[in-house]
Amino acid sequence: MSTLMRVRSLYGRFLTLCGLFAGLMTFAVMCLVVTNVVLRYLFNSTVPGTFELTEGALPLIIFLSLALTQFHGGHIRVVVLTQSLPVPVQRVLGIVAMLAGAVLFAWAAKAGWTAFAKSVAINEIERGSIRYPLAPVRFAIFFGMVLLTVQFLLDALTLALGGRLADAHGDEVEP
Amino acid sequence: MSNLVIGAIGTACLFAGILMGVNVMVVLGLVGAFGLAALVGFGAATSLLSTVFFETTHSFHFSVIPLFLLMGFFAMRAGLGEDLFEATTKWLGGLRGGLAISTTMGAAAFGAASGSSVGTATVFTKLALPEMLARGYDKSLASASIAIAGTLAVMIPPSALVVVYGILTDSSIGALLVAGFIPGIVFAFVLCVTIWLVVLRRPDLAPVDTTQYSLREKLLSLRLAGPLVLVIVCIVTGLYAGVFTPTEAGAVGAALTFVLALIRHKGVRGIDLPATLLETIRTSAMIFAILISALLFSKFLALSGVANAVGGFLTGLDVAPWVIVVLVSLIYLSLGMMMDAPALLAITLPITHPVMMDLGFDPIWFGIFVVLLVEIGAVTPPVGINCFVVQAASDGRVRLEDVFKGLVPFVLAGFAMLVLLYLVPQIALFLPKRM
Amino acid sequence: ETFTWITFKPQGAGDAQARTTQWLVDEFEARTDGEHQIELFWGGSVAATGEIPEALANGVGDFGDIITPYFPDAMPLNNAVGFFIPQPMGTLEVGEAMERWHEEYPQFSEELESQNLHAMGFRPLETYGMLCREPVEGIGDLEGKRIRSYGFAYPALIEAMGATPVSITTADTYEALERSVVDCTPIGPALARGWKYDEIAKYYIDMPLGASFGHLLAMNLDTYQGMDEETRAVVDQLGADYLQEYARVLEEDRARVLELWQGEMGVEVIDFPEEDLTALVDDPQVQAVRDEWIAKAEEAGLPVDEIVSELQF
Ligand code: NA
Ligand code: NA
Repeated sequence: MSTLMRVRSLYGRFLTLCGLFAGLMTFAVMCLVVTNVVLRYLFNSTVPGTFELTEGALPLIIFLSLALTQFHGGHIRVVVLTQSLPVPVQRVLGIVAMLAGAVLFAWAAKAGWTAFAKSVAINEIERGSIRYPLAPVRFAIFFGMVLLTVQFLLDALTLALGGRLADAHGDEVEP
Repeated sequence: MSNLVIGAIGTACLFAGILMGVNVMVVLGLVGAFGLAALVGFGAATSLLSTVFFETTHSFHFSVIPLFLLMGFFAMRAGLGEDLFEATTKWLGGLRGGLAISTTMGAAAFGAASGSSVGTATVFTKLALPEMLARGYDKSLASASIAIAGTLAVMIPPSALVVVYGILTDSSIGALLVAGFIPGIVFAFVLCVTIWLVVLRRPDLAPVDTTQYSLREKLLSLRLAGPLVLVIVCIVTGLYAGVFTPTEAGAVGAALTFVLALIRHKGVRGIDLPATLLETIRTSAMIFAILISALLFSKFLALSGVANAVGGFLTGLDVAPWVIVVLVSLIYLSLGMMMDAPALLAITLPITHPVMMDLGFDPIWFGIFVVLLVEIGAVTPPVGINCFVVQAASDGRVRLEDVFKGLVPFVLAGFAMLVLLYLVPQIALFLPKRM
Repeated sequence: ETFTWITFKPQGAGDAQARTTQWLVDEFEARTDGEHQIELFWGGSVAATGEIPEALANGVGDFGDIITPYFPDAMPLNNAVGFFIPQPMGTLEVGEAMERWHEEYPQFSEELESQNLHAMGFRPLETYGMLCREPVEGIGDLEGKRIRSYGFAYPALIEAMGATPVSITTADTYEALERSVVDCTPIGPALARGWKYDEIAKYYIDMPLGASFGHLLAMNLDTYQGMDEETRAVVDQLGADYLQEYARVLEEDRARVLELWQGEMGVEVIDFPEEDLTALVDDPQVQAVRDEWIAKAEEAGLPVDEIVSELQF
């Protein structure tokens, strides 16, 4: 159990790093769009690629954060019915819920890999006032799905071994 | 098994899964994906899984969501919430429910800058919820009044959803945008009256601040509300002067509140940028996860023919027009329980719009009517995106059940507004007819 | 048998694309004596524009329309026209050129077959000009104007005009025109009416940008090959007839819009000196976009010169 907790917490730290990167990208997008607006309005000029870079940044922002959100228990659940059930039943339902998440995102990860592989094969390019290959964006989606699948599996395992998961926005996980 | 039956089973599974406490996004995605597999095979379902995540997020338009979130978090760091509270309690604090009422008016004002229901709900959760709770407001009243107030941003121009309606139905977008203005303000007023009535019946839900303030203090407090007013004025002016587009307004708003936070803390250190950014991306991820999985479920529902079957039934009826209006409303309200707004419009309008036009209703009026219906759907369980957002942005202060529970009177207020719009269509048509 | 057609197009759009799609579906049922039908799924409710090729290839739907310019890397050959803006052909000519190229050069259909797709028909867009807030009489008037840009060919062309390309979403363009975030947008009359841009921008510059391509009326290859010969013949003939019907309806629409513009809408159509535009083709950036296609076509073993000559003034 304590080994699992250590793994989970180390994994969480890695997810936080991914999240910080996503956060910095969000901030960068803000700066980019505002600079573009100012240049366009005052100097009738633009930052080339504002549109295209923002488009490319959003998938990275979202998919590098999905697993971190699950780590913190931040994905929406309705517990109005289950919270009155006996604890063992809650636990089983919880494990089923986490495994369901793992199934969905493992499937999505497999599909995401296919999309990534195709993007590499055809040398898919974002075209506009600037150009860049889209394969890294596709890869980030695949990678984010894998991270989330692993997090769901860790959470299922934690519940199965008798641990408790973080409530939405509670950061601590207790054994 | 017929496709319709598969569609019905899938819908039942959706409700069951949600009630069993599975993550809403997981249920939507899983039922959607397996439902699609049942309809057209695993390979086909996988192909949609390989495209939908990229297609939905690889979008300039949707960048407005994280940026409005960022704006909300910066506004919080800049203390705009406390300041707004200072000012509003001094003016409206004596009134029972005064802070909830001023939050509603604030959201309406903010709606003239924001085209996003979800974004506005987030900003005002960050701004007003902690203050209301600290002043002893009931959790349900506080969170629900914010969730519904967010919908005002979609009625009051600018509004992305109204543009979607215009495109789907080939109606004048300019007229539609203008048409939403008066209904938005009327609805804000209806919501304020609702809050007033709720606390009239249950005074314990919203304590009155008994402190007396002098006029001088009240006038001075306006200075505190200044920064927020300034942000709104900047955004509204910028939009109307053509400095930036509605989509770019998210970044501009975030940058303005960031500067305010810098000024407040005399530097970047006090803002705790990493924590702010992490909060932003976690909430963004939550919203997009729901958005995308709702899309997967919509695809399944559309392909199963459930959506089309409902429309075919409607056109076959031989009853008075108001009955059709009620039926159409019920369709939006029931589907709106499960689907997100753009998907709901895309699936239903091809069916409902011709029916309504046949009955002689005005397309502009119907646009506003439908947008109000869809926005009511955004606050009804089990899939009420605004409620999810309020809960997620509340930092654990409220539970989802609290929000939904508090929404009963506001959903009733929404119904009242629908009736008002039906009886007095001029509310929506007055301005566009004068263009 | 009931086939499915997945389209991004909302039925309520009521434009030439939507109406002729319905026409095609009705014709299919009539020509197969009611033996086969197609069920239409409108408005991207099953697959969004960017999803349609994958969805069709994997059997989510049997038929669907692919907006070719969204997939320049997946189907470069079938995107030929998109790399050549401006070019001299109008709607019907572009459609007929696509039909001819598919007949004469197997590379065009092989490109689609390798992705499990089959093109049953072609739907070019209307001939584009430029809709502006201010009158534009020649290339000099475009200097410093902000022009809405999208895709891979317009940014270079707009810069060659001495104007500033501004990338904004289609949903934002109405407001952007209204508030002068942009001064002009490339578009045709029917589409300008469809998006209501003509409510706020009152000058249509008759700049010969040509008709761009457009949409493939595509099928899942297995579905196509699995049809009996009789049905397949109906599909083939219907694809050819579709182009004529679509071009006819589109022309009617354009004529109606132009009449409306002259009357109550008050949109002025301004001639633009053709040579001002054709001169831009020599711009190195514009040429670079064209060379990109030429390289891909040569790699696929196409006789490039024959095709390129059709796309040049
Ligand atoms: Na708004
Ligand atoms: Na709902």
